[in-house]
Amino acid sequence: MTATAAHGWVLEAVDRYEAPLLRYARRLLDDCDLAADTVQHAFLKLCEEPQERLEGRVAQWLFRVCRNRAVDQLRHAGRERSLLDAESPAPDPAARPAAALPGREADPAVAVERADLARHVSTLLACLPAPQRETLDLWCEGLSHKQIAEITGRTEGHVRVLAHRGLSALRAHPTVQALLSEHRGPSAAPATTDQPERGTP
Amino acid sequence: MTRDTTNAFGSLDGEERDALLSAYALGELAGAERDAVEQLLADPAATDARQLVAETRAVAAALRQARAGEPPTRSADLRRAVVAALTTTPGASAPRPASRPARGRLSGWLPLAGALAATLLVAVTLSQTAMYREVAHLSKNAPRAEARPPVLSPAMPRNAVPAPERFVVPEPAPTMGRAVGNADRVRRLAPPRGPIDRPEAAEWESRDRYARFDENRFLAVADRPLSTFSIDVDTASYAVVRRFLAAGRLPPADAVRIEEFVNYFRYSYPQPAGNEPFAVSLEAADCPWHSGHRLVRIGIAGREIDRRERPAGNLVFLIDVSGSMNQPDKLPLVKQALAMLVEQLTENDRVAIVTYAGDAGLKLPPTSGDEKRTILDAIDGLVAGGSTHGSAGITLAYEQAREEFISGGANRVILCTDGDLNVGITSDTALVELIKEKAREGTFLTVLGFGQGNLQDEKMEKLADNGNGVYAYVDGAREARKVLVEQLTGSTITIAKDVKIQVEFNPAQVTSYRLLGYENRRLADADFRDDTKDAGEIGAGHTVTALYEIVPAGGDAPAAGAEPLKYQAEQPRAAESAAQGPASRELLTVKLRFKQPEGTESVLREFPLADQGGRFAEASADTRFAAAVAAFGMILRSSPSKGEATLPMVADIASAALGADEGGYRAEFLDLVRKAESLRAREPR
Repeated sequence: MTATAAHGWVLEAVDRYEAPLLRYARRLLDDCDLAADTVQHAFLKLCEEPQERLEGRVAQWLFRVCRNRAVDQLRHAGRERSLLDAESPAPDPAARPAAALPGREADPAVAVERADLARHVSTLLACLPAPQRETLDLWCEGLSHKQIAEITGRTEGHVRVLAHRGLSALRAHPTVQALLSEHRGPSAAPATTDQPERGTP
Repeated sequence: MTRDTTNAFGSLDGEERDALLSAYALGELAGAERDAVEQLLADPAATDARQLVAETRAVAAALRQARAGEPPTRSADLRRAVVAALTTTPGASAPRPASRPARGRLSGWLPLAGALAATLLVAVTLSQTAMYREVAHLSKNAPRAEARPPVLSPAMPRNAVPAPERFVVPEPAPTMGRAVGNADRVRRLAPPRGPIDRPEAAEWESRDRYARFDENRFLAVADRPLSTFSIDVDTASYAVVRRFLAAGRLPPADAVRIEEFVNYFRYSYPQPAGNEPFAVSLEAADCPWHSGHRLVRIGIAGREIDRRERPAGNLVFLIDVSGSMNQPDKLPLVKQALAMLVEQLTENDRVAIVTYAGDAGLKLPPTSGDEKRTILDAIDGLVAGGSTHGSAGITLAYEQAREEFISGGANRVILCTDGDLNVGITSDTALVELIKEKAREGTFLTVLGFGQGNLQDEKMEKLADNGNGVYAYVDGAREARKVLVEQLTGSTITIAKDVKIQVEFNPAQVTSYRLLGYENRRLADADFRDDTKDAGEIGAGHTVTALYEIVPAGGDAPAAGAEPLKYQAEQPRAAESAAQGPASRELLTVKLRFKQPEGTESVLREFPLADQGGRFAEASADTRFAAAVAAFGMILRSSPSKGEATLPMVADIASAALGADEGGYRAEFLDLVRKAESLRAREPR
């Protein structure tokens, strides 16, 4: 008998969550190698867990261990402020999402394709405040708000608001707006472009 | 807005309402909340709400689309580290397999593939072993916060919602590109992985990742005549330190483990006689870093499997020549590895080459191992890409193997691929069935992974498992050479387990002693004879080295760390004991206990050492090199025991003790010493 047979569930988790965890950790840490170490830490911890204890919540558990580890690492590096709500700068009620994303002017020459929207929003995503970005990152990895709440130690309601703020900021960005109008077709977006309409999926 | 929707949302302020709409757009709502949102959206007047939902959906879809377009990030290393942890972690949730039957069943050519696997397991990325160690360490301590399930509150706590954070926005464009590029980087087996050009990263790493340990100190023989420890063939610490130095930083002291440094290198110790699983050779010489002290080297050599004794091989290489193999670390490496292998073949062996997924077909019909020219020409002729002829692939390979089937030999199909497993049978089940059936008939499947990107790790491992074979990953010419040539006869076959060493010092000759390294491998003296206490295992061809620094009797008085003994001031001295017979002239006796791989009772072997008074310069190259490596470790640790050791001294000793240095590992060591020297020179005084 090999480890594969005895610990199938751990190896299944490796197959399923390695890539999402790596992406997540990389975004938290901005460092591939630290991210890989962090992910590995999580899986090695998983090896010590009895399967029954994590029934149905392996994903949350892995992401959470990963996150704790990353936060530790950021803390040691004096970089944790951005990730932890408790240490965020004092909230400014006047600041609205979208207010400071780069490139306020819509660029009419921007290529209007769906892939472009994808590229654009993911670029903008990196500029969001860490808690919003993290929430959307986790959501993109297929985790529900409830799971994200469990991972990040926030309430589900808070997660919902963070996701909303992030998405609103992305939505409100002029370039994204231009691309979205293109998707909706000229009738809904009167101003932005004179290119012919593309087939939308 | 209609009255209904006003009711449903009346209690929510603008942002909370919109957050609910966003959550709906993301598909996160259920039950009453979802019903309420759907009711609102049905309201003809709720244009802005519908727009919000539509745009949010589009943005969310775009985000996920972008995510899906990222290159896959996974590494073969993680899986191996996990498998290694599962099979070695005492606290792992399933019992540790007592032996590895898959290996036991394979003889002959297993060493080849097994050696690959061994190298992979041993040389798992530096941090993996370091991490594993840390995990083991953590598991002994109290559970950490992350084990605690967080408290969930499904309701939206109105007061708890913080106001929006301020944006801090750099120019966005380059960020993603870089992140995606980085994702491509897959870690290799023992890479200089230092990303660590940022000081803060260096800081946490050096501060936290290595469990603190105290070095062994001198112990008085009169007080502690026995020194007991488990053997250890771990070598990760050396790779860790190599990475630090490669990244231009000196390693933290606790990353440096002397025994792992010393055991990283291969030593040409004498082989055991007869059926003994290993031989022990001992040598004593002057201690280079402390005049008046002696250095004792204990060398244990696991029995090597003689190439000439291995059964005849009937090898069919099934090689992926799809276009993706046309990269330096893929087909060219396969060819290089094969060419190195060919050198080891004899007239008793048969080799055939079948290609698939590109210019497919029989490239070399079964050929005798002594027709090296023919085989090498066929290897040279392999080209990636080209047209795909209907690929019989694996079936053809098995046919070749059956034609030349050697009863009692090693009949093996060796699949070399970067992950394209379209070997001519598309159904996974049918493929596994075929492989199983062939394994039952005596033809095993070994899978060698090359390159990166689309390696289908699990599937490849599964195939090899079903084929009674081994799955291994080859990441470079150096690795190929190490596993194919140097370790062709080495393997992961355990030849002895629970190997414990107990050294008994002769108080007539030795005042005090210090074991270099093995701090975490120390055993209680009583555990030596206790067969229920686990210890390390030793594989065919492995060498294990331990060094003792000894204060000879009559030499300078109790060394640092050894408390003077109140009641034993009158110790037997050499002069006086000389009259007591030849045994008393011995410096020490090394006692070894081990079990046969399947055994439960240990066997004892004893090896006495009489010090011939040899000078350091006259010692064997292996002993001198091991001493240099240990001294290097002590210097990096700033060990209080390093005595007069300096980096130039280490370089001098090592450069005079390179020996044959197959694989260039000792030369690499010299480079590291020089690197450390230059880093030291830059340090503020």
